[in-house]
Parts: sequence; C-alpha cells; structure tokens
Amino acid sequence: MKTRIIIAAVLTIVLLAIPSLAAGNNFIITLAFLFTIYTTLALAWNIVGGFTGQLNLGHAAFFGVGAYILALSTGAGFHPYLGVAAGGAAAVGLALLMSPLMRLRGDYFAIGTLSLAEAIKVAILNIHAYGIRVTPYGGSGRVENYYLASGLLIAAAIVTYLILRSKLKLALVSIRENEILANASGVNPLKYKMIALALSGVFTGLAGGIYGYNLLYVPAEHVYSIEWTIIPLFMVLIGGRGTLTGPLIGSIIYLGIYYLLQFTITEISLLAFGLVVVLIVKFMPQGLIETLFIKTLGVRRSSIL
Amino acid sequence: MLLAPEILFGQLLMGAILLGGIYSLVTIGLALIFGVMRILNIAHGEFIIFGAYATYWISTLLSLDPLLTILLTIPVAALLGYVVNTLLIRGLTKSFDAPIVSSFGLLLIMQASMLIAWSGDPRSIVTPLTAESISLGPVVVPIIRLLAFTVSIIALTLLHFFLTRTSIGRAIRAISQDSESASTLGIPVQRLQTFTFILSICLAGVSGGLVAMLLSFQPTFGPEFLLKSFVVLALSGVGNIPAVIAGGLVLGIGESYGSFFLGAGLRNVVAYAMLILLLLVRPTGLFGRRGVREV
Repeated sequence: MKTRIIIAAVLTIVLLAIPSLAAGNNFIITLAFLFTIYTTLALAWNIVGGFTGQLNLGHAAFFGVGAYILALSTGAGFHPYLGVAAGGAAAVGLALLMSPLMRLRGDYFAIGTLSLAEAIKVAILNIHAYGIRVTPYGGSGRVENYYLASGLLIAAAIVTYLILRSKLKLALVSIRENEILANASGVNPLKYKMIALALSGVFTGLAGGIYGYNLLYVPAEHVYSIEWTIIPLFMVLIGGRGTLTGPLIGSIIYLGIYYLLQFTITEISLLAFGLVVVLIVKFMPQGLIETLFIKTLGVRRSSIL
Repeated sequence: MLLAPEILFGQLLMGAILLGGIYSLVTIGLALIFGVMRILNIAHGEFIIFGAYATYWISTLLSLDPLLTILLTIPVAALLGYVVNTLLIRGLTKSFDAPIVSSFGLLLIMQASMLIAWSGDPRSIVTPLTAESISLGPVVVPIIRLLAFTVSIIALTLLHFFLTRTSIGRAIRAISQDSESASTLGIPVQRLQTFTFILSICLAGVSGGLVAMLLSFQPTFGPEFLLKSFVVLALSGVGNIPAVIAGGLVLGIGESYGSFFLGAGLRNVVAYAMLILLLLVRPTGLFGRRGVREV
C-alpha cells in the first residue's frame, strides 16, 4: 500500500515537472501533452470498455463534441476554460442521449456506437467543412494547457482508483460478466451503464476541449476521427482491462512504440505498427499486464475478456 | 418538374436498386465471417480495395477485359485469404475483442502496404462499356452498373444455393448456429471456418473488382466500405442471404432518396441514421431472429 502511494506521488511529480525540465522545448512539451490527452482517453474508455465490458466504438464522438463546443464558445467570446467546461457538459449530454443505444448487446452496441460517431462527424462536416479557428486567449499557452491536461489525467486516475474501491465497480463488473444475472441480483444494468458512460464522456469531452484549444483549430474530420476511439482502446487492451495500471502502462508502451517507429522507419511505420498490434493480440490476448501476471504468479482469472 | 414521377420512381429507384445489389455483395463477406467465425472483421474494406487493385493490375498488365479479369482476381484473393487466416486468425482466443483488435492491426498493415506499393493516387477501371447505356422508356440505365448488379445477384444466388443445398453448406450453417454442437456431431469446424474465411475474402475481392468499375478508388477508401457493410449487416441481421440482399436494397434506396431530398452531403448521415433507428426498434436487425442468444 505504502509503496503504491510513493509510486503515485513520484509519477505525479514527474508529470508536473516535465515543463520545467523541458525548459521551453516545445517538442517535448507537445509530446507530453499528447501523452496526457491519450492516457486520459484510455482511462475514460476503460470505464465503459474495461469495467462494464461494453465495446464502445463511438468514443471519438465525446472527444469531438468537447473540441467542437470549445471552438463555438470561444468564437462567441467566452473564456477558453469556460469552453472546455461546456465541452465536458456537452459530452455528458451526448452520453445521456445515447441511453437508447445502451440496450444493445455486444456486437450491435459496437456497431451502433460506431455509426453514431460517424453520423455526427459527417453531419458536422456538412456545416463546417473546413473546421473552425480558435482565437487564442492571453495567459493560457502551451505550458498552461499542459498543466490543465495533466490535471485532468490525475483526476481521471483518481476517479478510476475510487471506482476500483467502490461498490460501483462490483455493479459494473457484474454487468460485464453476465448482464442477466446482474439484473436478477438487483443491479439495474441500464442505470449503471449510463453512469459509466457519463463518467467516460465527461473526461473525454474535457480532454477534447483542451486538445482543441491547444491546437487552436478544430477540423471536424480530425477531432471526430475514429483514431480517438481506436488508440485508447488499444492502450487499454495492451495494458489490461478494468484496472488502473493497465491503461497507464498500455499508453506508455503504445506511444513509445508508435513514436519510436515514426522516428526510425518513417516510411513503413504504420505497417510495422500494425504488425506489432497483431503480434501482441496473438501472443498476449489478455493484455501485457495480465500475461506477465499469469506467467509470474501462475494465477488465471476464471473469465477471459 | 424535378419531382416528376418518372424521375422519382423510375430513374432514382433504378439507381437505388442497382446500388443496393452491389452493397449486398460488398457485405456478404463480412456477414459470412461474422456468422460462422464470430469475428467482426474490421479489415473487410481493405480486402475490397485489394480486390479492386488486383483487378486493375491484372487487367492492365495482361490487357484483358476487366470483367473477365474478375475470374482471375478470385484465386489471388483466395491466396491472400489463406495467408491471412493461417498467420493471424487461426488460434486466436474466443474472446470477442481479440479478433477485432487483431483485424484492426491487419487493416493498418494492408492499408500501409497498399499505399507503399500503389501510392495514394485515385485510380479507376475503364471498360469498353463504361460510357454505354440503354434506355428503358424514360429511364436511362448505365450498362456497367447493370452488369455489376447482375454479377452480384448471380454470385449471391449461387452462394445461397451452395449454403442451403449442399452438405458442406449445411455444415457451415450448422457451425454458425452452434459451433460446439456442430463439432460434437463430427463437423470439422476448424477446416470449414478456414474455408469460409477464404470464400469470404474471394467474395470481397469480386465485389472490389466490380466497385472499381463504377467508382474511383484509393488505398484509404477501405473503412468507407466497412461502414456501409456494417449498415447492411445490422439491417439484415446475421441470417440468410435473401435478408442480406434486402438489407442492401434498403440501404441503396434509403441513401438514394435521402441524398435526393436532403442533399448529397448528407448521404452517409441518412445511412447511419437508418441504422441507429433500426437498431433501436429491432436490436437484432430487421430480419434477425429475436431473443435466441439471451444468456
């Protein structure tokens, strides 16, 4: 227990010290910013896809809505932080609107959420084909954005930790393991799925807002792109689902491999990356953490997800 | 004038039906793999694009008629299907999302290799019939679309009879209903799943070759076809081939009329909106069976 607190504290300090260590090196700050955004998304996706076991392929919609609302509200003259908050609120609104989709099971839930995200993207592309410019606001530049994003990441990690220690986790996992039995034992699946989706949405929407403000330009094609769903999903699956360390480690491994390939073999980086993904799934189907855990301790979980 | 009945119910409906038939063929590979192997193949669109390129290159290099070339596309696609199945698909865990993620990796691999090999330039296949059309009263029908539609329907009909009238087809359907029981009855599940995978890739390749004669294509267009197939799959449910044809026609008609009345930009929105509405009303698809897999 004590070592865990120490590790968490050290990680937090490192996270917050990066801008001072980078000493104005924009490249490092940008990489660290992307890391915090992606890790927040992975933690958020994990709440629905990991704990609750619902394969949400429409995660990008939350991210896009957050960025989009930020662009609209700064355009209307509001402070960007207000815009970020509005983006988070809008994502929760979207999660509530998605409640009918939560009745769908398994594959159909995946197809339904994916279609919803794509439909929103195409509809918005029709209105703003070339994206929206965001006017920068004095006193909130790259470094401030980084602190905001890492604050959000820490909040997402704390919320995940709290979920892990709460009754909520038991309800969510029971839905993942067997929805009908969970229902029969007095867990209202729809209610708990909605709680998970709203939590997932608020973090993703806030992250989208911060990302949009950092980019200062919000093209619908980019912020609603499916990569905002797929990359967090990979991070969670690489690391292991339904844990706190899984998404964190998965995110580090993913971005590490990704950028390593980008900088070394730029031409064929996507090809090599696809191979890495395929190999990880083939040889470590339960995620890296779980695989190593099983190997070292010889413990096998009864249900494979 | 624009809403004259012969345009509304003639030209538009004809275009919608011809389009819908091709959507059915585009979908059938995805539906087969999903039904028999329980794998949602995210790389489905890439196999279609691969079929388009294979047809393009074979017909260019051997200066053959593109329509005949499709016959040569089939063995090429089969080879690819065999390799992919052996290296990636076989032996994956039965969990639901390992194949999804694995096939997403495959999507990246295929898209990247096609971009490296054939660049991102849009290409299209020009046949001697490309500019020809015939008139049925006031309705003008482009011959190439009619041909593509006919080939699609023939392929789907043959497949339908294969699945319902032959013993191999019956065994495949048994696997799609319950693979464990099928296995205890002595059906070689693994071998037939391999066979189904290769068959599906061949069908995707053929549909890619046909699509390439109608539209221009490039290596990044795969996901577009994947999403169209998702819509048809959800409309039809994982059932039988007539349902897939009906699903394709519903999508073709919905898209054509939707883009006619709402504007071409909203074409895909119409498709997705149809899908989501339908899922809400009938969570197992328009023609799917209800409530079989509850627990």
